[in-house]
Amino acid sequence: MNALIVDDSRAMRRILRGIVTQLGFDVIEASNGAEGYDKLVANEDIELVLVDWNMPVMNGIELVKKVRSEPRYETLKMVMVTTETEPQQMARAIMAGVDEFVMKPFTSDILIDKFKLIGVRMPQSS
Amino acid sequence: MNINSEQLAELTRNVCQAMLGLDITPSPSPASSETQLTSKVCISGQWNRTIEVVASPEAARCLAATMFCMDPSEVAASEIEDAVSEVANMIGGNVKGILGGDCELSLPSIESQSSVTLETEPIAKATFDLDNGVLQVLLKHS
Repeated sequence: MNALIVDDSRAMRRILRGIVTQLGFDVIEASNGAEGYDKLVANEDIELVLVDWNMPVMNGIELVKKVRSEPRYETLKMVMVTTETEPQQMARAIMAGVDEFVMKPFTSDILIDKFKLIGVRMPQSS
Repeated sequence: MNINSEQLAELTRNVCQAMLGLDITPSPSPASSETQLTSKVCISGQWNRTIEVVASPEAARCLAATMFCMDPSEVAASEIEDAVSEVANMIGGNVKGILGGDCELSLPSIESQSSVTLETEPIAKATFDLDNGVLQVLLKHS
């Protein structure tokens, strides 16, 4: 079972990789929305997408809208992990189609709680 | 809306505690004259501000080693830059959230400089001791 991490920050990808790997996911990484979309299309077994907001080339909101416009990704779990902290930005992300929104800084417990809240199937518990 | 030095210090402590598990302590020490690593993010729009995270070599290495769960001696230069940039990004995002309004946050940029030059007097400043080094966060007009 794969998780796709889309973030232009290598540091953040590494932190997120550490958390989702512990949950039993195999991780695929992308450094912007366009690359993330290509990797999503190329890998059928992606259960979960963690996406940053501010990225070059294609930002996170654009990626979420593009993915959600395709019926085959209707049930894909998408979590936005971002430094955007304003409620109106959170609303924008939810409107675009993310299932949950995690503000940086966060702890691994916060992230895992969000996964549980939206019913992410975690390989280690299945 | 502005942010004072106490708020900036609290916000920085929260970032380091939540993301890195690091308890950093405020320091009265000024940044030294040795080479510093600086990461900047800019807020633009209703508010125009720059957030600079300035780290001494020891502090920068400590941030990276903690962020990546590595031995400090094994951390590469690129990992140090990534870590300091990510800290700047998180602090910048939180500052933007406090300022409110319609603003954009830039991607972080990184630079090395031989000393901290306060060419613009900061609006707020927070300085911390970190692993025998100094971590300084500056909020400026831009």
